[in-house]
Amino acid sequence: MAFVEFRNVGKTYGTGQVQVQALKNASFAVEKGELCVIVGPSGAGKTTLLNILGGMDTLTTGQVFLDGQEISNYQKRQLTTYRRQDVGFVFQFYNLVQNLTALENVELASQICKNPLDPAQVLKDVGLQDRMKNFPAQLSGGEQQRVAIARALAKNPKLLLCDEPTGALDYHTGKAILKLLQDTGRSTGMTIIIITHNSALTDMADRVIHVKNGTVASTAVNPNPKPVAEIEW
Amino acid sequence: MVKKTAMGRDLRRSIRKSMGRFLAIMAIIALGAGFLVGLQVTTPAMLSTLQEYVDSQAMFDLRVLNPYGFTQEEVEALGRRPELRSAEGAVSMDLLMLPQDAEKEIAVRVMSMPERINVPMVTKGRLPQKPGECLADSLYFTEKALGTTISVCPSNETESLDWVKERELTIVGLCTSPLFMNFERGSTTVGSGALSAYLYVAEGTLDTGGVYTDVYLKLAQDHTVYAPEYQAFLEDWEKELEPQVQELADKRYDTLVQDAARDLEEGWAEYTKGMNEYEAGHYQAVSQLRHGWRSLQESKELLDEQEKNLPEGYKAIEEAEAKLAEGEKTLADSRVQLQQQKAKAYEELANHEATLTENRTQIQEGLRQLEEGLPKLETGISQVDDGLQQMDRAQGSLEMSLNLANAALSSARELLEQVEQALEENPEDQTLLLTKAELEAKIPELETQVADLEAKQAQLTEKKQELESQKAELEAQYQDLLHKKQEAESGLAKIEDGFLSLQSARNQADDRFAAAEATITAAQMELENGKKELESNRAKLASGEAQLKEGREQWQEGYLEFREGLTQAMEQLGQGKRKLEGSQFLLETGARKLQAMESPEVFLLDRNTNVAYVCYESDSSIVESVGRVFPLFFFAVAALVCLTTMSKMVDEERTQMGVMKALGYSGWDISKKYLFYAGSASLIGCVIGVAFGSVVFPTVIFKGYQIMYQFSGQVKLTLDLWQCVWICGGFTLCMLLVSWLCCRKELKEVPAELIRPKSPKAGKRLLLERLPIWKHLSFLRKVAIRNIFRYKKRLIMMLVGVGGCTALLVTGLGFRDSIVDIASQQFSEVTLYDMAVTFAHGQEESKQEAFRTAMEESCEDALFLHESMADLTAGGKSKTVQMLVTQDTLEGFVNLHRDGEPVPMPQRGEALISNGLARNLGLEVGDPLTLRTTDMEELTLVVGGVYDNIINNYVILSQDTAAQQWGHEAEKNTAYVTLLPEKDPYEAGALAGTQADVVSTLVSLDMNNRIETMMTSMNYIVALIVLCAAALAFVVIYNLTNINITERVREIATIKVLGFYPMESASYVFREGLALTAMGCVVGLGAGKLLLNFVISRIQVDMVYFTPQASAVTYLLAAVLTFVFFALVDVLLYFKLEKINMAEALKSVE
Repeated sequence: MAFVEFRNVGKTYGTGQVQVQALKNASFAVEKGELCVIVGPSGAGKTTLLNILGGMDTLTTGQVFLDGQEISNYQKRQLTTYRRQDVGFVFQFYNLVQNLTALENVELASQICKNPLDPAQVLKDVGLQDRMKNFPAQLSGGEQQRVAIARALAKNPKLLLCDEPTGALDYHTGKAILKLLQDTGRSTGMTIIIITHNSALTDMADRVIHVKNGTVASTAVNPNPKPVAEIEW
Repeated sequence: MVKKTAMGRDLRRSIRKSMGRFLAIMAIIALGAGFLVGLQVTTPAMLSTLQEYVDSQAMFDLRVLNPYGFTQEEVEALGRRPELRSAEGAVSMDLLMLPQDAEKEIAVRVMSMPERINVPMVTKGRLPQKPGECLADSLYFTEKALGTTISVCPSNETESLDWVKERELTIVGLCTSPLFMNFERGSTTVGSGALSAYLYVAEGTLDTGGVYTDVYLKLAQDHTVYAPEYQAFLEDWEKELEPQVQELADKRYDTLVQDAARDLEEGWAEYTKGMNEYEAGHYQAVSQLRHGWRSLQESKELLDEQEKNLPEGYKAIEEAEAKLAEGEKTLADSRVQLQQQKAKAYEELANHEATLTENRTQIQEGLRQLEEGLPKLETGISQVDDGLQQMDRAQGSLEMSLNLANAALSSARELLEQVEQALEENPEDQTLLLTKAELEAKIPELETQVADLEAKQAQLTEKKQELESQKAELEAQYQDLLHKKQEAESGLAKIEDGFLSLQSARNQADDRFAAAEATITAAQMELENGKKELESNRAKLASGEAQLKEGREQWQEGYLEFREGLTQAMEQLGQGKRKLEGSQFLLETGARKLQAMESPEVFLLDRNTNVAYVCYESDSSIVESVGRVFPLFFFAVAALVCLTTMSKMVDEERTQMGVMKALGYSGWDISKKYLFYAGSASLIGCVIGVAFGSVVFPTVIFKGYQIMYQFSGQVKLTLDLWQCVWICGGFTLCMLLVSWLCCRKELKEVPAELIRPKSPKAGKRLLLERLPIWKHLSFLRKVAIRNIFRYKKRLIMMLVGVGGCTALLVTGLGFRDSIVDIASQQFSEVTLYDMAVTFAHGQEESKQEAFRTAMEESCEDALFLHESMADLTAGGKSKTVQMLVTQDTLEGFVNLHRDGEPVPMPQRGEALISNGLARNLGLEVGDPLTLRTTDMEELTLVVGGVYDNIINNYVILSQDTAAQQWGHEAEKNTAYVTLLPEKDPYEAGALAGTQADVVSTLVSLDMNNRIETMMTSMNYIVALIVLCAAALAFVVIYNLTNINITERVREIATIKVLGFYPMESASYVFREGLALTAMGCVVGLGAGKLLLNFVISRIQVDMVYFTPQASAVTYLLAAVLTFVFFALVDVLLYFKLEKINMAEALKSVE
């Protein structure tokens, strides 16, 4: 069994008259240590997919596995524990706690999980050794996203989920962030899933999953992923 | 205002979307406005309730009192005054009455049923229509009492009883009276001194002979209660009216005096007549009695004497009886003796006869024998004579033989002698020897012969003698026999004589016995007679005794009769005397009274003399003064809530504002939304608040006051429209201003700036972070702390809101602490005596002793001192105070302390004042003051000390001071009495009330209970305050937490995504609120004390020294309740927190 596996996952929002099928019959698999890019247009169901995989939402039909565990039948509390221990999130808008410094934001995550990494070290790793004591408002977007990544990494998760990590960043900064992600994947062997509408990013991925109209249109393995620096968009 | 424009729709939607926020603003404004209106409106509502009652029941404006009462004539004369609507006379008297089924009698004020003034309001049943029916106090009697009776106790004073024509009254209805609007029924001189209830009776039940005890006046116009104009008008008018009243009273007085003088004169005449009659009667009675007594005495003596004789009679009878018995016995004895003697005599005679006969026979026999013996003897004698003759012959022969023998012997002996002689010469002559031997042998032989012959001679002599004696004997016998014969012959003769004398003795005996028998018979006869006599004597004695007994009984009767007569006479005399004395006393007092009746002092009493009326004003104004503090505070909180909410809203919609501006809307257009949002919330809140406040507050508070004031069951709600408009307008304007201030800054900015999301407010480092402790805090705490200081407005709002809540709770509960205990504090810590007894005038030593003795049973100690009302003037201010003058220590009766330290009694020229005075007049030790008594005597004093006291104002000074300044001591007109443990103070009070000169008795326990009852009405107000505090806490905490949640939805979503468990995320959010609540609480506890002090200082009443005090329990409870409110809000918001959808929240910054 693959490290991450979706089996015929379907998700319907709403009940009664107005029902929106956000995801239907979606199946894919990602191997451990891969950097996977899920790409698709707006409204294709990428976020739903991510929410389900991240334990933030439940599915209507199908099964989801991570590292051999079926997370699709987890209860609410189990899902919370799952999020707490196994998944790291990087959001489009960083979602840092404004009232905590960079270091403290990282600690916010690391303090609640079982075997975290050293927050300061992780921040150093993402290149923020000088800005640890700064508040989010004192940091640029890229720096904030680095903090967000550091926060996700510090938990030492099984899976790193990134939702449009460059969506709110300018080109260069975006690239730097992507590079950070790619380098991190390479150096730590962490499984990373990036969700984006930018198909240019597919080149850097080990595996590319296309999502269209609420289902997985195709899954492709990229035998020669390009370094981020070589990607242009 | 809101047109069907996009703007309008936006407004409606934003309201709907942020309903909680909208409601929060509305609620806090409703609360503030409600509180403001409620507290403002309560006093007027209470006053208007009173007004309505006073108007509808036509409560008097003036009460006119004349010690001599008024008649209809004078009432009508007064009623003709143009200012008056009516004047009405009324009769009232206090009676002891016993309600049906009740065990104890109660003191009741019985009043005539008024028609126009002070009309009672019937709450149940109907008005009394005929004599014997009554309308009863609805406070004392319940509906069950309808139809039952209440009877007048016979123990009432006769004067009162004379006035009551019906002794049993039937309760036909219950009522309230404008004269008794509160629970206090006042004091009375009957019974225990406290009135229990009042009754209105129909005409004909009371008959005072046309005299009214009171006259009530009602002004033509209904005036506003407590209005200063009314007061001023009355004061002026009283001055105007007084001469007329005085004139009427004087006229009445004159008539009375004339009547009285005439009556008195008649009385004296009658008295003198009576006295004379009495004296005559007395003399007569006494002499009669004396006479009666004397005769009684005499008859008694007689009886005694007779009685004394009686035992003698009995003794005589007894003696006679004894004698008789003895006589009888003697008689019997003698009879027996006689018989015996007779028998003996006859026996003797018979014996004698027998003896005689025998003797005769014997003698005759003897004689015969004698006659036989004599010849024999004669023979015997002759025989003996023969013998003798023989003897004589024998004797002669013998004698010759003897002579021969003797002659032979003598011859032998002579030869022998010759031989012997011869032998001597020739000793050896044998023949001589032989002759000698032969002679010697022949001599003894001759001697024996001689002896033999001699013996035979002696024998013969003896025989001869014997015969001779025999012959003599015989001869004697013969003689004897002869003699005997003679004797027998004489005996015989004697016996014959004996027979003769026997016969005569017998005859004699017969005679004698006959005589003896005759004697005995006579004696018996005599005895019989004696017995008979004795019987008759006995009978006589018995009848005498019976007569004596009868006589004694008769005497006893007579004596009793006499005694009775004496008692009766004495009683009659005594009665007569007493009556005379009584009439003398009456006449004297009448005369004195008449003399004292110099000028009747009339009293014009306005409503201020009605306790309930006066207290009601101060009681209702408590609410008003409290009402001035709290609303301000709510107003501030409302403004803060509005400010934070609106600024939050403006922050949130900043981008939208930019877009609108960019689209070309003017700043005003855009701000209209916010103004309208806040304005509508405020207006709706105000309307709700005003509506609720003006109903709930007066209703609840009046409910509390109904414990004391029962005249109306329902508060009359008043609505001052202008006040409402002012309050609503004020609140709304204020909220609008706050909203405008919030968005003003944003609207100044250019659209481009606005459209861009506002850079999130930077986190800031705090001073706290420099402390080493910071590192050890968990990030959750750090976040909470940073958040607390991040938004100053919210911090202030929370502190004010939560602090306010706690402060309110402290105030409310502390209010209770401070007020509820005043009575028990006063009466357990300051006033130690159990009752104060007021006397009509000063009591000198002897009277004091008499009082102490009378009260001995229950009284432990009594202190006599002077107590009276006086006006104290100091520093231009004046107060009416209670003046105590005593030289003795008050120890044991009043506890003079200041902050726990004993305060010494004042020195000469010094006054010891209670702390209430010291505070109200700003007096300190050493300050001068002036006291003016009701007798217009003045004292100039210096404050010598201040002591802690709660109820009433006191000035204590020494008799020395009074004596020095007045020249005389103050009369001791009051006794402070302490009772022995476990004595009922009410009973003791009632007992004291019956003592001489006692005017009134004030039982401390009674006062204590009354004040405590009064204070329980405060519980409603406290409950109201607690409720408002809760509401305040809810609104503020909800608002803040709600803002926190909505503002940090993303943050919360983030941490949820990060894997925070629900409780962790909740604590992440609520921790801040908790910290703020804790801070607010601390602030509130302090502020609460200040607020309490302020409130208490505002409700300071002249008579009571309130000390703001909050117990530890109050503080604890206030804090705990605050946290409970916080917890409740958080429970509510926890669900809102749960609903936050992580996925949705993460999407993007709006």
